[in-house]
Amino acid sequence: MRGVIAVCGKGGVGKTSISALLCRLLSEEDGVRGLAVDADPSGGLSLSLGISPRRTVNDLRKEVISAARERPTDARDLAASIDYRLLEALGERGNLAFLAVGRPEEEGCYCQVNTFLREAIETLAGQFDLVVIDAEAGVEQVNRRVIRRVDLLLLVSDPTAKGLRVAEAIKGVADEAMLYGRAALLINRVSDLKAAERLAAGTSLELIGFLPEDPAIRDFDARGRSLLELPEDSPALRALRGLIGQ
Amino acid sequence: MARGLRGDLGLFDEPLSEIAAWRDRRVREGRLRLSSPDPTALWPLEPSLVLREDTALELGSTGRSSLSLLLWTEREDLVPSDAVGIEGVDLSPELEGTPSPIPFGQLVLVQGSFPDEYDAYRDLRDVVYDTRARGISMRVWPDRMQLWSRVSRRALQEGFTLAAYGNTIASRLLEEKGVRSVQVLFIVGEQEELDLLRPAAEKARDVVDALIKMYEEMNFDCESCEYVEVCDEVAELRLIRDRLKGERQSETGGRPPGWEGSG
Repeated sequence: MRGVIAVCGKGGVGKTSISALLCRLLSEEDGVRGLAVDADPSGGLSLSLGISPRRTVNDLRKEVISAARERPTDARDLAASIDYRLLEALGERGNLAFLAVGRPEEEGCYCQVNTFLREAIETLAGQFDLVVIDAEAGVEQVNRRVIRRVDLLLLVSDPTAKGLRVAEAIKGVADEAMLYGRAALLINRVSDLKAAERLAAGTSLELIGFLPEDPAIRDFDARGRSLLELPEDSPALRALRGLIGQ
Repeated sequence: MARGLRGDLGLFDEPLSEIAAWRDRRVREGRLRLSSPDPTALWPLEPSLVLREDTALELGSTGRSSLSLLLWTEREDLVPSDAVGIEGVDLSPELEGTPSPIPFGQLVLVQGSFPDEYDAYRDLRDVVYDTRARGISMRVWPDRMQLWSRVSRRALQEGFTLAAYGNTIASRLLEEKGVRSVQVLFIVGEQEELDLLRPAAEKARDVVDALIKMYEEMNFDCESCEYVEVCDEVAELRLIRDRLKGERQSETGGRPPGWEGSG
């Protein structure tokens, strides 16, 4: 597993769990380092991984703006202080680092700070073998606040017409607003490949695979346990491992 | 560079004189060991991010446990020769497991001829910031003068030392136009020394702030400027301000800077 994966889809289709499972698979690999980015303001990936961010990117943004109001600074010093704070903001567990984007900016534009933050995140991301971004429904926020190019846009849907339509719509937006290498559909909570293929046939999306319903994930979510500790025999984990193996 | 109005005071001569006095005292006491930079003993450059699980030592970090400073001057007596110096112990694999973060200071003193002070600031600073050593995460928070570094186990095992890192910074700075001598001084594990040097460092930071404000904001209304006292103290800053004001007035056809917005 290498590169930048943005996991997108309608709310409730399992983006966060799938992001966490990708991180779980990464944590099994020796000598490989991963960065998980929670671009969903609700912050669910932190719970699913059991890693707390020390601060969010939005916290940093506010601190940087406040500091720049207090003391004169130029672009290079500003960028250096953002690099420093970004590293400080990372949560860490083993070979996995975690960054939460936080709520969208509330006041003003501060384009320069936003640009520096995104560039700092892009530079940071370049230091990892795999970057998994748990994106909220839209990709514009990812593009504007996290990273401009992803290698794989993983469009997640459940077996519902609405989920599939949203996945298609996200790809449409990504075509206009984002640089990506490949976009592919992953159908969550279906029993077999044939069912997934039937569902995908009604869309214009390339099917990458499916994940079965997994009671263990529901159970871990309900108990607030980290999916990094999901047992080896978890059906969804096994299926995802198989997909990556392909 | 033009000389100052009062006593030929350059931008950083006052804080640099204090730091030079501290340096000379510590050398005499045998606490600070200076050696000539060895251009053959450099550490490879490679941007690195060290995660906690790979970290052997953590140096500096937030609050008062770190100090990062870059100062330059024309005065040869303040930076008389090239040197890399360490107060405290240099890094080695035996230090792994030392309670972290270890208080840490990095003082970079440069002597040379710099026709434009702001260009000098930017050029010298870029060299220091861009000296990203392999296996080391080094981050600087300039307006707080903080420095935070994680040294990986692998780097320590491969022989990373502050002496090699200092050699690398010094050799890169010596390639810069106008630079004649460089001293890179490290303070390791000596919190009292960081506290002792902080007042001089804060004076230097105020000068940098005033310099940035002048160049970046182009506001020469001294009555409303919070750095007016700094400019009053440092003759070189007043000269820079007057030069910039003159340049700005010629750009705006003789109107005072800041006038263009009103009509």
